[in-house]
Amino acid sequence: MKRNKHAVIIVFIVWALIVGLGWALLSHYENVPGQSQPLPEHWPLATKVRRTPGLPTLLMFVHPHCPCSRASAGELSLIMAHSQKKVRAQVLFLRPETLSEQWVKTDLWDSAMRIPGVEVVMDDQGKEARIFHANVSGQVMLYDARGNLVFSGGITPSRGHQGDNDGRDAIVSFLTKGIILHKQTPFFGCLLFSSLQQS
Amino acid sequence: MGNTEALKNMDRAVQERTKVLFLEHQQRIFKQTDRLFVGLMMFQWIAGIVIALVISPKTWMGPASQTHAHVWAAIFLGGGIASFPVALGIFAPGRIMTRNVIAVAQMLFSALLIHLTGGRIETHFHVFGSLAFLAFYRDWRILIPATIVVAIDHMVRGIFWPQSVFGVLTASPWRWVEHAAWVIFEDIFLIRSCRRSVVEMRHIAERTAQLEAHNQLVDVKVKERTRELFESKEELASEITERKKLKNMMIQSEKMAAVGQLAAGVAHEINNPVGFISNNIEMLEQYTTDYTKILRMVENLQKSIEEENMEKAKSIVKAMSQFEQEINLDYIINDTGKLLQYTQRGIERIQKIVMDLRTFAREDHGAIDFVKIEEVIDSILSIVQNELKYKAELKKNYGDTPLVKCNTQRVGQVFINLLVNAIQAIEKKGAIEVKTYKEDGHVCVDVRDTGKGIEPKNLEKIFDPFFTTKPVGQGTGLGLSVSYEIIKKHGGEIKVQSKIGEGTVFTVQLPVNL
Repeated sequence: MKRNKHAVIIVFIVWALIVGLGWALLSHYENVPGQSQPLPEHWPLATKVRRTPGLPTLLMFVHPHCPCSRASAGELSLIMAHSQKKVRAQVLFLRPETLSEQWVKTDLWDSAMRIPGVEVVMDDQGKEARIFHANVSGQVMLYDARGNLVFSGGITPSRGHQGDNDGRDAIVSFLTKGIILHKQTPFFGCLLFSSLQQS
Repeated sequence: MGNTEALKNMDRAVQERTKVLFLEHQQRIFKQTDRLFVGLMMFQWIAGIVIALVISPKTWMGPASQTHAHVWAAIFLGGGIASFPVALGIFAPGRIMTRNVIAVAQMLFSALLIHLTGGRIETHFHVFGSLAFLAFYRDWRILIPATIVVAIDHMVRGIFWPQSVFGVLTASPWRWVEHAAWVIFEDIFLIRSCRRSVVEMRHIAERTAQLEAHNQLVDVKVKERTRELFESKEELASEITERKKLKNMMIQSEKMAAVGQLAAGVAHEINNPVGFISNNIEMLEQYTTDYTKILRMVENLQKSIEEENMEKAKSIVKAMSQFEQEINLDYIINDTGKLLQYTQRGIERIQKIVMDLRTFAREDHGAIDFVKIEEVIDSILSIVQNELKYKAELKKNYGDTPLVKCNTQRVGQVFINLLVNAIQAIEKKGAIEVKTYKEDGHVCVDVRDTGKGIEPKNLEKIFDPFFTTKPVGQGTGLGLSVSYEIIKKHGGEIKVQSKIGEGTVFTVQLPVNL
C-alpha cells in the first residue's frame, strides 16, 4: 500500500517534470521574437507603397498562411478602432513568385479586408518587404507624416497570442497623443522568405 | 433509566451511521466526478489537436511550410497532461491524489487551449469553467492546487516572458497577483458552494440514518407484533379446537341423555322377547325331558328285539303308547317347532334393538356416508318403539328419495329428539306420522304429531339452547338446539309449524349431494 503510494508520487513527479518541460519549450517557442534587421529610418524612395500627405503610414507585412498573424490582424483591428482616420494603414500580403493570387487570398486576407480603414495589398515576390527590410509575418512599421520611422516591431504579446501589448500601446499613443512610448517591440510570426533564418 | 440508555445508544448508532453514509456518498461523488474528468480530459486532448490543426496547422517560411509547433504541443503536451489524471481516474478513482492531479491537469489544459487558440479572450473562460467543474467534487481543497497552477503559470511567465502574459515588458513583478486574485474571487463562491453542499450531504446522511433507524425500529415492532399475532392465532386455533371438542362433547352428552331417557323403554322392549324366550326355553326343556324318556324306551325296545324277548318288547310298546297319549306327543312335536321359531324371532328382535342402540350411542367420529334416510328413521324408531306404542299410532309414509350424504349418528340424533318430543307432546293417545319426500333438491322428513302444540310465543325460542317447556328432569333444553346445529352443519334446514290443540310438524331438509 505504502509502496503504491510512493510509486504514485514518483510518477506524479515524473509527470510534472515532463509536462513542465513541454510547457517551457512551448513558452520558449512562443516568446522568442524574430530577429530584427536595420530598417529604413526614412520612407524609402524605391517603394511603390503610397502615402497620404499629412497622415502617418502604418505598414504590416503578412505571410498569407501564417497562423500566428491572425493575432496580429486582431490587434490591428483594435488599433484601427482607436485611430481609424488618423493613419493610412496598409497590410502587405506576400505573394511568392511561383504562387497564384488564390494562394494569397486566405481567411487571413479576408480578415484584413474586413478591418475598417485598412488597405490590403498584394506584395508580389515580396518586393516591398525586401525594400522595407521586413522578414517576419506580423511585423509592423509606423512612419510619421514626414516619412520618419517612429515605431517598428510586433503588436502581439507573444507568438500568435492576442492581448494587451506594448506595440499596440505605442502605435495608439503616437496616433492619438503624438507620444512615442516604445520605438521597437519584439515581433513573432512565420518567416516571409525561406532564405532567411528565424532567430 | 433503561429507556434513556436505549435512546443514547440509538443516538450513537445514528451518528455512526451518519458518518458512514456521508463518507459513502462523498466517495461516490468523488468517483463519479473522477470518471467525468476522465472523459473531459480525453475530449479536451482531442479538441486541442483539432483546434491546432484548424487554426495553426503549419508554420511557414516563404512558400515552404512545416507542421506548426502547436500541433505537436497539442498532441504531445496535451497527451502528456491528460495521461496521468486519466490513468488515475481509471485505476484509482476516489483517491485524494487523483482529484488533485486532475485539478492541476485541468488548469494546465486551460492554459494549453488558450495558447492553441491564440490567446482569445473567450478561451480564458475555460479557466473559470474548469474551476466550476472542479467544484463538482464538493471538496473545496482541490481548488487550492488549481489556483496555485494558475498563479504559478502567471508568475513564472510574468518573470521570464512578461509581455506574453501582461502585454508589456515593464509590468510590475506582482501583477500576477491581480490575475490570481480574480481566480480566488471565483474560488470564494465555489468554496462556499462546496461547503454548503457538504453540509447538505451531512443532513441527507443524517436523515437517511434516522430513517434507517426508524425503519429498523418499525421492522422490529412489526416482527414483534407478527409474533404476538402468531401466538394469538395459535391460541385462537387451540380455543376453536377446544370449543369444537366441547361442542362435540355437548352433542354426545345430549345424545347420551336421550339414550338414558330411552333406556327404560329399550329395556322394556328387550325384556318382552326375553320373557317369552325364557318361557319358550322352559317349555322346550320340558319337551326335551319327554323326548328323552321316549328315546330311552326306544332304546330298550331295540335291545329286547335284539335279545328276541318279545314279551318285554310288547310291554315297552304298550308303555310308550301310554306315555305318548299322556304327554300328547303330536302337540309337543308341533309346538317345539313353533317355540323354536318364536325364540329365534325374539332373539333377532333383541339383536336389532341392541344393534340400533349401539349404532346410535357409540362415540361419533364424524364419518360421512351416503345413506337412505328411511333406514336411519327405522333404526331410530326401533329404539323409541316402547315409548311410541303406548301413546301413538305410528304411520310411516315413505316416498322415493335419493341417497343423502350425512353423518348417520348425528342425523339419527335429530330424529330421536323429534320423535321423543312428538311422543311427549301427546298427552293420552294420538298419532305420529313420519313422511319422507323429495323437494327442490332436498330430501325432506316431516315428523307430525297430534299433540298439544307449541305456543306461538315459544316457537321462536325452541331452537335456543337450554330452552324447554318440559318439567325439570325430563329435558336438557339442548335437544332442538343441537338438532338445529346438526342440520345446519349438513347444509340443511329444520322448520317447525304448530297449532295449539292440533299438533306440530317438524320438517327436516337435507340437501341431495348426488
